[in-house]
Amino acid sequence: MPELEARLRGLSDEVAWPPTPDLSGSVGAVLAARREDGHTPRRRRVSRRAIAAAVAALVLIPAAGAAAFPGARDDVLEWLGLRHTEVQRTPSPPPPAAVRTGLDLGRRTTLADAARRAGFTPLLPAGLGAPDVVRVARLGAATRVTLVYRPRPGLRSLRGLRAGLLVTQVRGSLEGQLLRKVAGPGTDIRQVQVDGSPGLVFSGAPHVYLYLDPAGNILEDRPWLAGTTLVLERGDAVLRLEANAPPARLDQLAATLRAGPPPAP
Amino acid sequence: MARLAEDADLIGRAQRGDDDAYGMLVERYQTIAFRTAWLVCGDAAEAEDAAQEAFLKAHAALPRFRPGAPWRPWLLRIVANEARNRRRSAGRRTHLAGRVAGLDAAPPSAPGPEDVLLAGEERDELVSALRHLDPPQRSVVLLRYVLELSEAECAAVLGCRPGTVKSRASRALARLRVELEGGDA
Repeated sequence: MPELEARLRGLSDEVAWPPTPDLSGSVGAVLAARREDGHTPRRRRVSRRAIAAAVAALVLIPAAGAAAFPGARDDVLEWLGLRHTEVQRTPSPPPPAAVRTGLDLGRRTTLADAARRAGFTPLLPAGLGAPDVVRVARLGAATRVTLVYRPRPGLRSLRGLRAGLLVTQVRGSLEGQLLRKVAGPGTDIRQVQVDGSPGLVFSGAPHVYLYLDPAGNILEDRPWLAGTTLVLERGDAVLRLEANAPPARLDQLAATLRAGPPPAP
Repeated sequence: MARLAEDADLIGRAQRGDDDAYGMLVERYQTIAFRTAWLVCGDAAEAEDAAQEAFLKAHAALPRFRPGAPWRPWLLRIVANEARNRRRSAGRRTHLAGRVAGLDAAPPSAPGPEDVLLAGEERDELVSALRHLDPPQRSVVLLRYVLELSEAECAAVLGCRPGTVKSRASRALARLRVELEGGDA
C-alpha cells in the first residue's frame, strides 16, 4: 500500500520543525577560534594510566597531603559544606571504563546569549569591564559560561592562550553531581572567604578536575594552565577563576564579582 | 550521484584543512542533523548543542573518514550518539519512539514533536495507529518516513543493521495497515 507510506511522509509536513540554527556559522566560529587560539581541541581521552598516576600520588601522601593544608581532615569536612563542590584526595581510582572525553571552553557567543542559555546573569569582575570573549558549553544538564579576559597589567598571559583571566560559572543545577578536584602533593590548597562566600585557592603543581555526570561518565577538565585557581561558591553558582597571578590578586578580583549591566542588544 | 561527488570533493578539501569547505558541508547537512537530534532528545536547545558538537567531532575525525564512503549516515550516527548522551545526561528516559506520539513518558516542558503532531485535535487515524506500534517499530517509522532517512541512515541512527531496519519497517507497516482497517493485530 504505497498510499500508507505517502501518508506517513505527509506527516512530515504536519510537524512544525524548530527552525534550523545556523550551525555552519557556529561551527565555523569554533573552528576559527581554535585556530586563532593556536591549539587543537583540548578534548582528549583520559587514559587509565594518567588517572591511576594522579591518584597514586594521592595514595602515597596521606601525611604529606595533610601537611599541605592546615587542619586537613576537619577542613575537608568543612569544604564539603560547599554544596556543589567537593574536594577529594581520592583513595582509589574512579572506574576507568566510564572515562570519556573532557571539556573545552565551548562555543563563542555573546554575553546575552550566554545568560539566556545558562539561565542566569554571569557575574563580572567589576574592575575589568566586559569580557573580551564569552564561551558556553553544556556540562551535563547545566550550561557552563566562561568569560575570557585578554592579558593586561597584573594579569599575565596564561600559557598557550591569549587570555589573562578565565572566569567560569556553572549554575547550582550541578547539585546531585560530583565535582572532584584531584590534587597532587605539589598543589597547595587554601580555604578562603571572599566577600562572605566560601572558596578554595589552588596553586602550585598542576591539577585536574574530574566531573562525574549523572550518567556516570567521568569528564576531565584540566585547567588551561594551572596558574592559580580560585573555586568559589556564590549564590547557587560555582565559579572558577584562573589567572597567572598571585592568589591575592584572584581574591581581589573575586571580591568585585557583580552581575554586569544588561548587555547591549 | 552529483551530490555524492560534491560531498567527496568537500570532504577531501576539508581533510586538507579547508574550513570553508567544511562549512559548506555543515550548511548542506545541518537541517537533517538538527532534526535528527531533535527527534532523539526532544529539546531544540539540546538538539542544537548536540548537532554542533557532532559536527565538531566529525571534523576532528575527518582524517579517519574513508574516502568515497557516504558521509550522511556517518554523520547521523555521530549526531544520534551525541543526542542520546545528552538525553541520558538530562535524565530523560523517553524512548525516541515516544516522541512521535507521546506515549511512554511525561511530556517534556518544551513542545516536542508529539505535541506539534497532536496540537489541537487528534490529527487523524494515522497518528492514532502509530500509538499502537511498539517503540522500536515506531522509531523506524518516524525516521524512515517522517524524517525520510534511508535504511542505512536509520540503521546508523538506531545503532542496528540495515536489515533490521527493513524487517522492522515492514512489520510496522503491516501493523499500521491492520490498525487502519480496524483489525486487531
